[in-house]
Amino acid sequence: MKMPVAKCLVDSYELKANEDLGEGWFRLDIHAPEMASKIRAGQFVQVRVDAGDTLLIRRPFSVYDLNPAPGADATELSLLVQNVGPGTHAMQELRPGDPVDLMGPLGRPMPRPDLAADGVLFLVGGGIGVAPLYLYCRELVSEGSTLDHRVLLGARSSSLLIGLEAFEKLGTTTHCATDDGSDGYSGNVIDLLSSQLDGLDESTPVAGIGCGPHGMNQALLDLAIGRDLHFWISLENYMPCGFGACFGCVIPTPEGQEPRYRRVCVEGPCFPVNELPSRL
Amino acid sequence: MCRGARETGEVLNADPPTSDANRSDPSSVDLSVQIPCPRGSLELSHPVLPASGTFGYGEEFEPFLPPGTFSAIVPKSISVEVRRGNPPPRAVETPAGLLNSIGLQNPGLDQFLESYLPTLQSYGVPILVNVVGRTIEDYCKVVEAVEGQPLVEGYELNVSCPNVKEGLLFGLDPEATASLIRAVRPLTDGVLMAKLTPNVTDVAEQAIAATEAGADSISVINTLRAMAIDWRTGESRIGTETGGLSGPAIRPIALRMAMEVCRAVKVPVCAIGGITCAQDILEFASVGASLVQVGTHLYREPACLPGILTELRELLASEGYSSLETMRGNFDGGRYRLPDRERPVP
Ligand SMILES: Cc1cc2nc3c(=O)[nH]c(=O)nc-3n(C[C@H](O)[C@H](O)[C@H](O)COP(=O)(O)OP(=O)(O)OC[C@H]3O[C@@H](n4cnc5c(N)ncnc54)[C@H](O)[C@@H]3O)c2cc1C
Ligand SMILES: Cc1cc2nc3c(=O)[nH]c(=O)nc-3n(C[C@H](O)[C@H](O)[C@H](O)COP(=O)(O)O)c2cc1C
Ligand code: FES
Repeated sequence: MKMPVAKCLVDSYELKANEDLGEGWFRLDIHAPEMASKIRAGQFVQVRVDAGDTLLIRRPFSVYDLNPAPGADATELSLLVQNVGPGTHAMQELRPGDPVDLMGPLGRPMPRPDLAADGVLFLVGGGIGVAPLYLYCRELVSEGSTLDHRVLLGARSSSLLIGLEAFEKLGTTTHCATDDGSDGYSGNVIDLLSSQLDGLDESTPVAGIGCGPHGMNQALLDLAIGRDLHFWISLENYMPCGFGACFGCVIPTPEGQEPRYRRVCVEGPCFPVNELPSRL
Repeated sequence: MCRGARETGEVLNADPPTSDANRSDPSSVDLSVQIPCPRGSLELSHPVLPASGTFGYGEEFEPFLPPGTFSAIVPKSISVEVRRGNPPPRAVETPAGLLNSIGLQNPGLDQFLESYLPTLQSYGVPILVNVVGRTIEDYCKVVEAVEGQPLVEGYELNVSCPNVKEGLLFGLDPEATASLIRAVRPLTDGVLMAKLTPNVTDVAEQAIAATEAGADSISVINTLRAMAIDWRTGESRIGTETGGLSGPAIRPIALRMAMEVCRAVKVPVCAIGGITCAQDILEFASVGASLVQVGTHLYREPACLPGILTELRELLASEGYSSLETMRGNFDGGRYRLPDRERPVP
């Protein structure tokens, strides 16, 4: 018997707020009850950024927040967006009351590693990668999880540590790393992770999820493979469709396994490191 | 940031509404299409099919709409062997277009029969299996293996690949195209559709060769060879040097080619290229196309079909047409043609 298929929505929703966070970042709050109630951390939506044909392809964004709380009662979803090009520029121009055309939920939720009570879960974010990690933490909080989870955020400089305050408000243990040493650890977030791991007792069970720019993801992959860590990495490949139809977003299977290309949008976007090729 | 006026049926710069006397009832507008073939005639409830490679194997669309809403399904190309496809990055957006180098990734014939065909059959509408091969024998193997399976009503032969054995290019050389059709024709009495590449100087010549060899229908166009580069790094933006361009950017070229093919052959023509709404479909019907396929647009609006069909009926009714067939071919090319041109020079 085939499993019943979860419905995917494509509809126009109303923008409630567009908050400028500085440095080209902004947060969109969208009233989308049917969709918000179905989304889990790590899943994403595809935004139609152009009513015409100029920007043809939808743009994918992880869901950053759900309100009033993640789960069946959520009516509003938020996206944390960095203006990097024409599509995100058009999104930044949106005003409350404007329609936003969303498709979702897409992709698989981020995993819940099976960790012993004394284990530590690291959530490592860089740049826009903080978006899904924040919703993940909110889910842990609303589930009343007692798991020791630590957020490590990295940026070039303290002004770019977008989202840090929100994590702190949630009560999550948060450490940051800045390349210029303007806040927290001086260096990159992967070096910070290394030093945190070194500070743990050898027998402490460890797992983690990382989401960041390509360079961070690669460094995290190298570290996780080198130290044999149970980590997952969320990828942000270019996605023409987002629902498995085009085979445009693929990554190869790891060296030594049957060579095959897998679709990041439907099999991911979060993959355990042992399922990733050594060069992302 | 909502759907465009073109897609929602709002008519921009429309002529004043035609008088009510002229208007027919949208719900009674007949959209059905027949494709004659040796077995008889394949009747489709409406003219809109998904374009191969943009609809996966149907399953990917289940979260959006019943795949059987399309009047027939054209799954992604199938080859005898498993194809891994090209290295990433495999796609990049270009102005009003999408450039891809997927490389015909597919699970191969055996897996198709075992895992994908049963799902396709569960949608309850005719399946036109899109076949790709490197040799004539490759195409024949796929057709022989699939022929006779329930709901497989025909084939769309993707004739735009190099024939490694004979050193010919199917789709680029009319004789190679014809020999392929002649070889496949005896293997099926269902619909045999030849999908032509636009990367030729005279697409009509290919269409004539295919129909003379026994094709029941011609579909045009596949993607256009194109490229996108980053001059700073001196690299291609996709994993291969060139790729295939699709989307609204290619629609005017597809329209011209569909017209040329419609003039050259008598069989039903299936138009493909940048279609996003009912207006686009009617433009292709105007130059003579009987059917259409929607491709790249499905990525942004996977559930667009019911709206397109409603709008198609409404637009035809508003101009007093009782069926798509009565409107088809109303483009009056004759008045623009120079006297010395029997067929437009490409
Ligand atoms: C699953 C997923 C989740 C994402 N989540 C977020 C998020 O929460 N917040 C956020 O701001 N961005 C996120 N992105 C990236 C976002 O989709 C791109 O920044 C956006 O598509 C850029 O569109 P544009 O038209 O503004 O710029 P473009 O001109 O299209 O691109 C500008 C730059 O961004 C890069 N880019 C384009 N598309 C993508 C893409 N799909 N993924 C990564 N880089 C891309 C281009 O290579 C180019 O360098 C996510 C991407 C994926 C695949
Ligand atoms: C990502 C992608 C994959 C495609 N794969 C195939 C394929 O496997 N076989 C095929 O015959 N055509 C393939 N095509 C071509 C389409 O079927 C169609 O001819 C072309 O995209 C033009 O239509 P469109 O502008 O509506 O997309 C593909 C197109 C795209 C964009
Ligand atoms: S984005 Fe189309 S298959 Fe993943």
